[in-house]
Amino acid sequence: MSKDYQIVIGLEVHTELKTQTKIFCSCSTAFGAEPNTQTCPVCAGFPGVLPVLNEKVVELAIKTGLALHCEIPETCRFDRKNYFYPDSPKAYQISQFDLPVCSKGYLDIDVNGQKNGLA
Amino acid sequence: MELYELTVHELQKWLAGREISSEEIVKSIFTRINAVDDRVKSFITLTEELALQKAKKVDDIGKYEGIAGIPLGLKDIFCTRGVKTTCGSKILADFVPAYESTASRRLDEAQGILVGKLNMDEFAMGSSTENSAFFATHNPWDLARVAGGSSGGSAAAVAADEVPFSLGTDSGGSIRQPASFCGVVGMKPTYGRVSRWGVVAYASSLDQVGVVSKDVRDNALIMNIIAGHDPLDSTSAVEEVPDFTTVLDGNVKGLRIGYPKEYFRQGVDAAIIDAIKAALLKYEEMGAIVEEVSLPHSEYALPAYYLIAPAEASANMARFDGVRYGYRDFSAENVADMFCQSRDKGFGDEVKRRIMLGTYALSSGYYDAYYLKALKVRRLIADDFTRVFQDYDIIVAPTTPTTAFKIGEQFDDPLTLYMNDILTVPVNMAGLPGMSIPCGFDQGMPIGMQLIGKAFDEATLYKAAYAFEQNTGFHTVKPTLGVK
Repeated sequence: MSKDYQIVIGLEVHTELKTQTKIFCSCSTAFGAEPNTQTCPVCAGFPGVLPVLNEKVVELAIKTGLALHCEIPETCRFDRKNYFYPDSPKAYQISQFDLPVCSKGYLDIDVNGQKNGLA
Repeated sequence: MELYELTVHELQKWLAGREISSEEIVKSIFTRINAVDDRVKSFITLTEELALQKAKKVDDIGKYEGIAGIPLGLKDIFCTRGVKTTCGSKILADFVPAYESTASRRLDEAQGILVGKLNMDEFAMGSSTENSAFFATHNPWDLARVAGGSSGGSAAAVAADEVPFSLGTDSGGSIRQPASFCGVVGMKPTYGRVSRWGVVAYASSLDQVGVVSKDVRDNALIMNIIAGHDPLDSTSAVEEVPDFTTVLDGNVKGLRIGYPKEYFRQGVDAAIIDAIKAALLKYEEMGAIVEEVSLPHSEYALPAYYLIAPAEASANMARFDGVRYGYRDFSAENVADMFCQSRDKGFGDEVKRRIMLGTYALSSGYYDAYYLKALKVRRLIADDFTRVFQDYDIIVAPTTPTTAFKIGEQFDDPLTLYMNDILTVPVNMAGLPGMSIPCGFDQGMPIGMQLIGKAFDEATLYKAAYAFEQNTGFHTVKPTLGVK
C-alpha cells in the first residue's frame, strides 16, 4: 500500500424494513408468493395513481435514526430522482434529497478495543 | 322543452315526481349527441350501451335521490375502469384502466350515469383543445371558434346540451377558461378539495378536479358529491365539506368584493372589461361593497407557471415509455431506442415542448436560477391574495383576456396561446378556489366573470355567483350551434 494515499471508505447500507405492506401502496411484502400476485397499478406506475406513504416506514426510519444519534426534523420531504430504466415504472424513484427523515448521525464501533465514531 | 336541455336540479325534480325515467333522459341525451356532436366534437368515447343498462337498473330500483339516474360526462383524464381513457394522447389511445378515479367513483356510486369521455388538450396541456391527438372541439356559439382548453370537451358538451354536467381538471385555467369561452359555469375548487386519485397527473402541485355545469346550483350540488378527503390521495385535504347548496339564497348584502386593478389592464378586451365593470355595478346594486384592490405580483404568475408546470410535467410524463402500457414503437431494436421512438411518435408537439422546458428548468445548474426562483415568485403571489383576503371576502375579475378565438388562429404561436391563462394561472399558483360564470356577450360570444375565494371557502363563491346569476340570467341564453 502506497503511503501517498489515505484510505477513505464510504458505505451504502440497505436494510429491509419489517412492514406488512410496501412503502407506497397496500400490496403485501410476504415472501414466496406466486409471481404478480403482490403488485398493483401503484407498483406498476400506471397513469393517475398516487403513492400513499406507509406510516410504519416512517416509524422504523425514525427509530433507526434515534439509534444512530441522528437529527430528526419536524418535517421531511420526498423528491423525485428522474432516470429512464426498464424496471423503473414511473421513470423516477421517490427518494429523499435535502430534507430526509433523519441525518447527521453516527455509529460507535470497536476497532481493536478502541471506540470510533462512524459518521 | 327537451329532456336534454334540463339542468340537474330540474331533472331531479322530474325524476322524483316519477314524471320521467332515467332511461328516457339517457335516450334524449344520446339523441342530442347524435344530432350535434359531429359539429361540436366534444366526445372521444361514448358509452351508450353501459349508460342505458345503468339507467334501466336505476329505474328498476326507483330510488331517485341525489344524482341517481342523471347523465354526466368526464374529461378523458379521469381513469374509468373498463372504459378507454386516452388523456387526448396517441400514447394512451387504447389504454383501458383497471381502476376508477375517486371523483368518478363517487358520481358512479351516487348512481350518476356516464355517457362518455370528453375531448381535451393532450395531457391537459393547452388552452384550445386543438392539442388533442384526435380532433379539435368546436365552440357551440360559433363552430369556427375554439371551445377553450384544456377541458374544452367538458365545457362544449354542457353548452351544447350534450350532458347536464361534466367534470374537468384545472391546473392553470383549464376549467374556467373553456367555461368562459362556452358560456357555462366552471368551478376549480381549492387545491386538495377533490381527490386526484385516478386523474392522470400533469402538474401535481397545481392540478385540481372541478365541475362544469349549466348553472350555479348544479355546480354546487355536484361539488357536494365529489369534494372531501380521500385516503388514496395524500394531498386531498382533511377539511369539512359543507352543503354548498344551502348558501344559495341570493343575498350578497355586505359582501366585500375586491377587483384587482392588474386584471383590468391593457391586453384585456375593452368589451370584457365593460362587462365585468357592469357586473360589479350589479353587485353594488345588490348591496355588496365593491372596491379596487391590488395583486402586485400578478404579472409574474405566467412566467413562473411556465417553469413550475413543465418541470412537474416532465417528471409526470416520464412513465410513458412504452414498457408496460400505451403506445410502443415495435420497430426499435433495443430498449433505449424503444423509449425514444415510442415517446417521439406517441407524444404531440406541445407535450414535447413542455417536457423539454421542464427538464431544462430542473437540470443541475439551472435549478436555482429557474425552478427555485419560480417557487419563490409563487409564494409572493400567494401572499398577495392572503393580504387582500384580510379585508375582502371574494375577488372578482375577468376569466380571460379575450372571448373564444378562431380554430387555427393561435395554434402555431404557443406564446400567444399561453397568454389565455394570464388571469387564471395566479389562482392555481396560490391554490385558491376560482370559478367562471357567464356575465355577458361580445359579438355573440360569451364573456366569463371570474370569482376567486379564500382557501376552502367555495361556499362564498357559490353564494355570490348564484346571486349574480339569478339577478341577470345570462345562463339561460343558449347557443344555436350554427343553426340560425
